[in-house]
Amino acid sequence: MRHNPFGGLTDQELRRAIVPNDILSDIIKDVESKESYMVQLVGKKGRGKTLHLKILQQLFDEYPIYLLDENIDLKTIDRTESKIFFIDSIQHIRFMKRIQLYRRAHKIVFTTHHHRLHEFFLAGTKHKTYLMKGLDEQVLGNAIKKRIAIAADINDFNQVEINQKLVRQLLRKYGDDFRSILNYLYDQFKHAHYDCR
Amino acid sequence: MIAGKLVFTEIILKKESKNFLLGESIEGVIYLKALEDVNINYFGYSLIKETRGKLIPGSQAILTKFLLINRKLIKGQIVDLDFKSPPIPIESYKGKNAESFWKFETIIKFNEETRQRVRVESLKKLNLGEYFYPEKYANISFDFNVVANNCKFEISGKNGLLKIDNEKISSYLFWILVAGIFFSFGYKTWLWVIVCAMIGISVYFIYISLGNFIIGGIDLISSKTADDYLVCYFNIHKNWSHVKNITIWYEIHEEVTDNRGTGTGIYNEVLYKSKLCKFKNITQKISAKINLPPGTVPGSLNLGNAKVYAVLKLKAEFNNGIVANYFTDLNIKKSPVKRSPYS
Repeated sequence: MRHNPFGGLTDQELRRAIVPNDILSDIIKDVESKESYMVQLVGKKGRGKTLHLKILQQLFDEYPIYLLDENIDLKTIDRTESKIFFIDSIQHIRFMKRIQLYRRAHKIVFTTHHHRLHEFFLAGTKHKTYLMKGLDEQVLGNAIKKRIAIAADINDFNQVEINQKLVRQLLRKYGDDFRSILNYLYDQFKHAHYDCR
Repeated sequence: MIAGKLVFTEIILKKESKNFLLGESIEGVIYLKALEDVNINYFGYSLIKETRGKLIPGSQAILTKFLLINRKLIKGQIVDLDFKSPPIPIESYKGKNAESFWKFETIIKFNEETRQRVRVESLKKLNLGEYFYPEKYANISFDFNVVANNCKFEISGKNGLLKIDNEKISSYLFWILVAGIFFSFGYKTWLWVIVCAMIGISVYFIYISLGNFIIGGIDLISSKTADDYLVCYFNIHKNWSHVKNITIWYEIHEEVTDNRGTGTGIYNEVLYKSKLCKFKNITQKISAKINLPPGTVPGSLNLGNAKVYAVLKLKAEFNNGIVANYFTDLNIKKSPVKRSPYS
């Protein structure tokens, strides 16, 4: 393997790594819909909010994505002429500015740790909420297989075999916290294959 | 290695191993064979440094060199291109939460006429990847490691007052607050929380400043690398006879900022801790001589969200049991030893 399969992935690898699911197909319909409303992906850390947002932006690359952090420069969002855009970590935008954005935009798909229902109420905008939670054995198993396939340069992830008992143990220990599962596997892989290259 | 549609590219390295020394060049020959008539705008190679781990991966082309520019190759023609890269300036790195490695990748760009030809063919085969990027099958790459066996460290710190390390004291403060909250249940909770917080904060400030107040601070007067040692000189402002013993060491840390998701996490791990340099019978001036790290320890790294840095630490224990912890940041650099042409 070129690298530890359980670390961060490049944008190209993300497309191969995602396990298709109902939420993703529903949000795709939302983006395609002509109706104006906000779409919030709500969930705790490590539940795949940013992953889904990045995949959506790759599918709709005509719309910009803003991956915000503490050093946010709002001018880039202000300057955009796009009426639809994607925002990761909307909490980095000030409250009043968020309300203005909801009013101005036709549609924003964004990630957040907490519901923004009161903000939609104040802005008078319609909205749709997706709760990013829950992870079942099959989805987790496939997600792990896909990551191994990417690192090992295997085209068909079904060729990768993993121990389902381990998958069940991971679910029992970490629940749906996929980031913690990945971090655990990263450390395990590191110890087992320190000189894998 | 991989046959392209229009060209076949093969890299033969001068040495068999894909492990290179820090400061060594990569030498070899690239065979470029035209499988069809092909017009090339440019052909060359890039040395790319990739960072991976518990972070958003990064890729940075450190060097790009062109070996052919505006050439037409006729079907069957083979071009041998000798190459020798400049010295590799940064070692590969395998840390606790991040790793970085090198990639040698050929780069080719066909001219517009050739690209158009590839696009027509790719549409027939419904290969959209190749349609948008006609050079998709023409480039090849290999990963390589850069290790630093033959190297020297240069470590130095900024002269001046050492900072007070309050990492441990912050955790004491936290437990005082937790205890305060726990025992205040059943009483006027809010009052007890405020009282405990005030007590905790007061204790915190008194504790962290007491040891330092007694000796008035410690200066790092100078620090330099000599032979295989880091040599540091310190000056205690006053009352050094109150100090029972002093321990000095340095640590090399890896700090990875994980901003993959909606939140940000920081993983900080110690990669290397030097031997402890202990002093009793404390005088005003102290000089510490600490071994440099072994060659396997990275000198520095600053790629994307992964950072390797060094910290000098000093722990002073007083006769009355008080402990004061100090630290200062160090500059650390590892560079290859230049070989003499006569050796």
